[in-house]
Amino acid sequence: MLNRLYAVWLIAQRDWLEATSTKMFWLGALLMPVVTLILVIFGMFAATLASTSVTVGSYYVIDRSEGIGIDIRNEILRTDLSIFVGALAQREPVSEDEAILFDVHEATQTMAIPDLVNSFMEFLEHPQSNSTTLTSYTLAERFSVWWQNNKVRIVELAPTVSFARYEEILTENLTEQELISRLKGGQILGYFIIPEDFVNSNENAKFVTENILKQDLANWYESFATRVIQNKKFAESDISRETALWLLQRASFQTSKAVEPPRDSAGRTSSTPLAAGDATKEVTVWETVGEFAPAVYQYILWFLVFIGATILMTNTVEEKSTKLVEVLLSDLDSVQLMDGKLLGSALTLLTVVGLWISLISLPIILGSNVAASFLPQVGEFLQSSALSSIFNPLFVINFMIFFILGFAFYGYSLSALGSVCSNVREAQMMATPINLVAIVPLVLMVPIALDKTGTLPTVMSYIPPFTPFVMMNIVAEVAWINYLLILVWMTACTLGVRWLAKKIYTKGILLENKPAGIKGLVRLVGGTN
Amino acid sequence: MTNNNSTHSVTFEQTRKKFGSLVALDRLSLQIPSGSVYGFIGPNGAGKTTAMRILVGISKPTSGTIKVLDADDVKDVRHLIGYLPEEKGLYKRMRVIDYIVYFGRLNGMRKRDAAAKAKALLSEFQLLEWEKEKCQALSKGMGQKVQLMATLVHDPILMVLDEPFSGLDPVNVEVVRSIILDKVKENSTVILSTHIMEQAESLCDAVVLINKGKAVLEGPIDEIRKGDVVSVDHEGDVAVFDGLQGVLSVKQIGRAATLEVDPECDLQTLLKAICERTTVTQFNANSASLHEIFIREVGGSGDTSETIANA
Repeated sequence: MLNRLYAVWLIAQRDWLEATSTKMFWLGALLMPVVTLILVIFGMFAATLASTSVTVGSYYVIDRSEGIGIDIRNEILRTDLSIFVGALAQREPVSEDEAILFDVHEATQTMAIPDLVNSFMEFLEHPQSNSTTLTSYTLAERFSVWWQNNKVRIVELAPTVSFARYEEILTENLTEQELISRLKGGQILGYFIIPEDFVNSNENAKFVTENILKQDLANWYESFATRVIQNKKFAESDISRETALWLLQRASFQTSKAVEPPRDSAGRTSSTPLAAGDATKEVTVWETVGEFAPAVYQYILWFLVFIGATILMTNTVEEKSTKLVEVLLSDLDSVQLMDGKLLGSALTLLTVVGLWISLISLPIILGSNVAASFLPQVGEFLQSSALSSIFNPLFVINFMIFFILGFAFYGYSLSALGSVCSNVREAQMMATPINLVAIVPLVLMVPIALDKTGTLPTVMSYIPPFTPFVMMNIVAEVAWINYLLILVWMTACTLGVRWLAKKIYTKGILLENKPAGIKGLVRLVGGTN
Repeated sequence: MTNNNSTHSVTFEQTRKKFGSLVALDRLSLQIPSGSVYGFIGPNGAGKTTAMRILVGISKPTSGTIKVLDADDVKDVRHLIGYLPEEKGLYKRMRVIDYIVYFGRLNGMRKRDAAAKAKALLSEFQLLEWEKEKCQALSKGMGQKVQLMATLVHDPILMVLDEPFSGLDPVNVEVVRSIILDKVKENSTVILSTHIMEQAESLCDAVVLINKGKAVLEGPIDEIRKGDVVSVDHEGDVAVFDGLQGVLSVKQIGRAATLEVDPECDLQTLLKAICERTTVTQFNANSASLHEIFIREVGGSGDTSETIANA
């Protein structure tokens, strides 16, 4: 028995050494997480860029209603003024500042910002009355003059004001043809059409643009239009905006996690009743990410099992074609050879996983503060509980268990297929049905992650080709009895596949021509080798 | 009991192997004497490789039995057998010495012992300077020698060599020949298959000629070749041999005729009968060469195409 195991170990050791003794192996294994990391960082960067990058340009409004367009324009102005005045209130003036900025800052210390904004609106809101002449130099008058002539400075002091991004074309009375021509020429971002009865119906309200994927301008304008229409309706109903918003307030529940109740020195839970909310804590974004850890494990498991099983199949075909296998089979049983090669490939894959874990651990060893100084998201991630979710022993142990079962199941299957083929292309063709079956749990990975106790994952967890991957995803939610049943069932099926693979392999490996499809394989299993 | 002290190293008993409807080996019964060089000869697809695969335990007979080194199950004596298959492959990225050591260890040797034996073999085969090279750097002939070393490294007492001389230059053929003869001197048994009849004739103590899965001829070389061919130079044409008692067939080129005669035929009586019909200038009684016997027995029936299991 020991001699048999020793021979298996020798086969495994040789295959492992051969696979891991090349520069390509280490390069590939190192590149994989590096490329993944680059992609993740690029994804984060792109997402940040997408969220912060907005289109900059002008737009036009065709207002067919009774002045809704002007109301919206004023609402935007009011918001801009609030932003700007708010920014000045927060900022200590410096000696280089214009005098008006000193004065507004002073005013914010004695007046409420909305009142100050209202006083400014008197001179700035649309349509500007021709009769409004600046006779006395009140703060509001002086500010309105300054506001209209210092757009660049305003953006410098309050970068979030609307005209930093979008500016309505006010001076021209343009037709739709002219606007379309400007759109095509890239001179404007788009134009809005406000229909006659906009307060009561959105019908015929349009945003015309060339880039239908860029919706930030439309969304931004819509929010102001909504507020204007709401205000009009509130006014018609004779209720204040504040009252209306209070009436419309939605019920909301903050998603939280239960926390372990405090324990005394003897390890007993405290008998003191907890105040409401003490037993819970708010769920962070990273904790939500941590909930997807099993799905990530499933993906890595699938990737390793398939890469490994395919390499095993290719090696089998190559050893068959070089006739090396015939020499080996004179020294060993076919099942020893299969076991040895499977073990060798598994060791190779585990070497890759070990390398990846080392690479992932590196930032942890370096310290989350160092990592955070380079990439804040990484630091935030490392300080969150997502890390403990990912390295949860339950997942790590089950990853090993289902890696062994899954790799054995698919490794034996593909080795057997490889043994009856004369070249790699033939083997790949024959492996297609197995690959198609195996891709199912990968496709269903996210739906399974979202409903781990549903019928679909429960049924799939008992179907051997799916079991390892589905179980990896749902293992935390499976009852112990089911878990044990599934383990026993999967182990039995894997041993069955090993027996069948041995029958095929023993005969197939010596064949010059591959048997004709399933019938040929059945004949192989049936006869003596 | 698994030793080589018995009279026969291998005994095939009504051994039959079928691949679907194809009978690759048809009730083969033979005994291979211990301490001899035994040849499997026959055309392509005759069943030689199938017989050898059964012998080394790669393949199982459909019916019948095989006893190897007194063991009913060849698995029990695997470590005493060295097998060199017809098509020879190497682990290309492995170093030469590691390759030989690897096969030694697979046969139960300790690493240190296997390495020492591998070095000795490399020296014997004049490949010591290649020990650290990868197998992919070797020429075909060198690769074949390395394979042979991997077969020999664990000192097998039964060597099964399928076409050991194919692809070797004359110098290496001699090296392999001397290795085989040395092993026999050490009381090992060597079973080899070959297409080169001269090799079989000069090397083998006994042969079996397999054709279409059946043993057509079997026995010691001398007995197989025992005088059954007569060369006659004469003045007449081929018709002078018509109806002569004991003459089985005649081939004549110019004035030289080759007569295949019944082994029981009295050559003095035959010479007298020929002299009565024609003027004889030369009369020689020869043993047939293995090549001639091969051609005679197999004739045009040899299926040269490879069959399903390279039978």
